[in-house]
Amino acid sequence: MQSRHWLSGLALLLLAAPAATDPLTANTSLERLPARAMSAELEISSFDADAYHSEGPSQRIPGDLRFVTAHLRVSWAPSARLAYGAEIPYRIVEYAPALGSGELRNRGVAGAAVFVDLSHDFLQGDATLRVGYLRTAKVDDPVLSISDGADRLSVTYAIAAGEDVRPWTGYLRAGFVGARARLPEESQYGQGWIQIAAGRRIAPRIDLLLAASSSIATSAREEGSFLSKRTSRGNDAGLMLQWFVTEDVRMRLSATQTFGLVERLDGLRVVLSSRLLFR
Amino acid sequence: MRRTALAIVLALFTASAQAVTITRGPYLGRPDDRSVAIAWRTDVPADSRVDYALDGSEEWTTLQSTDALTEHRVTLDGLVPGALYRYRVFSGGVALAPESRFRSPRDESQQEFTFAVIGDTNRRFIPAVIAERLVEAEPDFAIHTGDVVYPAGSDDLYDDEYFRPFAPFLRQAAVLPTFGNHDTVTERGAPLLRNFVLPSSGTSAGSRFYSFRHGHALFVSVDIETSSFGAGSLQYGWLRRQLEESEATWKFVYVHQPPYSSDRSNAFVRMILGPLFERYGVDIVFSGNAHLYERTHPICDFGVPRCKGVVYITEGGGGARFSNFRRQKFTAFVKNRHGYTLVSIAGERLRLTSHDLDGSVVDSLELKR
Repeated sequence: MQSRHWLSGLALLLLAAPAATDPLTANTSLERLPARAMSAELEISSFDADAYHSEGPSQRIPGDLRFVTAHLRVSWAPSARLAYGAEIPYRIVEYAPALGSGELRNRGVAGAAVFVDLSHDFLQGDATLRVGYLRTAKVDDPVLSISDGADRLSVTYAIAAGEDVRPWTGYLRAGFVGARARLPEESQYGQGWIQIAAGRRIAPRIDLLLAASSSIATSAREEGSFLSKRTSRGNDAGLMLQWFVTEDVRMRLSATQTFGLVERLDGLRVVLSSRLLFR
Repeated sequence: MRRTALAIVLALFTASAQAVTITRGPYLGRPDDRSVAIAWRTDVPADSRVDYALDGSEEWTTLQSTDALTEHRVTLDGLVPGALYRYRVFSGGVALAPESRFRSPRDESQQEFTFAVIGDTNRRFIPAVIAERLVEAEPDFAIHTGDVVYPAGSDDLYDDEYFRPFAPFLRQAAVLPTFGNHDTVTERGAPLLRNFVLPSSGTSAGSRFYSFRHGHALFVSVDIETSSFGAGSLQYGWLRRQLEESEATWKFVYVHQPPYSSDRSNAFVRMILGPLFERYGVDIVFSGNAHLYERTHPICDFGVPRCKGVVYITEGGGGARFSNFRRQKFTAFVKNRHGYTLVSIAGERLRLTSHDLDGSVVDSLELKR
């Protein structure tokens, strides 16, 4: 039985042709699921961009530029070591320039992703390797659009603290995202990133964590837009509240601010997510 | 004895005068809306003299500076607007180049003229052919959409890559460039500023953006390579004032990276400057960077009331290797071609033609105000 699960996992990996999802937000769940459990997660991220920091001068955006992305993520764990999942991102891009009385708005399903999680015990917690493939929506013009049109392959390794270390909690994640360029002029895309969150219980069922991440990429691709061919790097940091409503329902609310950016949008990201476990 | 000494002095003077050789130019610049600058370079320091006269007249005016220089710049003020002039340049008492002609800047009453657009000029032999075609077409001036000298805009390449190939045209018309990414690799673009005479109409003497008026048209050069152009920046406020306060019938902006392109659009030029273009009635935005020619449909993207549509032209066909492109919804015409664009204005009518190297028209556009 176990070997059949491994085989189907391998088949999914093979389907994931080389061509990857954006780095996870602080909220994204990536930990071992109990055997024969299903997880459903809805994550809504709102990113308000104020400026773009380039290699040269920074450019402040004259208006309200907002990217709202909703991720619906469902996964099933046939065993405690393996889970399969799928994800649908839906994006709304809104730009209301200070000078105009209207706004530019694009919305739609930004693609579809599949992923496989392979988990094992790690010290007093667990570790999960996720391999994912995102097939993006095809667009003509990757500016202020729902998708930049480049399919992505991602590999993420996450170590999550277990219950043994309570009241402390947290995780450490690192990943790589690769994409084949839509146009030869855009060049191939690679992104490496690292993310950490650490905190402790502050009230019954409620944790407060500090979250931070750092990434570097071969070009600037953010929120469904292709922004620059130049090397992009940046960091963000903020706070995340985690509330275990019940044993199987977890909500997270985070707010992170970008800093130390090169070829990157500068702004505040607020993410609200809810994960339900069905055993 | 005295005669011998005089002969020796004269001989020495003649010898030194004959030693002066022109190594660049003459070429024209445009310091403001009423003047023309004539510039040239000599191999040894010498004085600067320009004789000029209205075409058909023998009333020559002489402007002279006795400063011994190798970089010569003489500014001709008080010109009759829109008139054709003949001119000759001298250093060390020697006429350095054949007589040439130029047309002075036009005033608002002169509403018929042609200007040229070139960009991404590379590989000498192509700019040389473009120069020939421009000499035949006789535009009043040309704007350059950037990337004047590849690969890095260094001073030592300006003669071979720009001044020599374009020499016949540069003698008769000013070329007014905006900064391209290649132009700013060396000393942040300082060689470009040294090698052109541009209007100093930005926010300060050191501004890298400028505007000028020709006839009833406004031309604005935006620098996105080395200057901030985001909200709150000097350039953004200046550009907004230029466009808002101008009563010109025609408004043109040129900026190196295209906000709308089938090759690669600059998202921030589109997001930050696009609303300004739409709000203040810019007719055409010219860009380069993409090595092709492209014309968009008139675009109104940002919900600006009474937007009449901005046409975006990419003229990057000055000789660099062609781009890979994918035609976009906003594209009206796109082609990998080397060549140039001419814009002819007659009052409230405009005709734009895109030309290949043999002068054939590959695309055209007519606008009416």
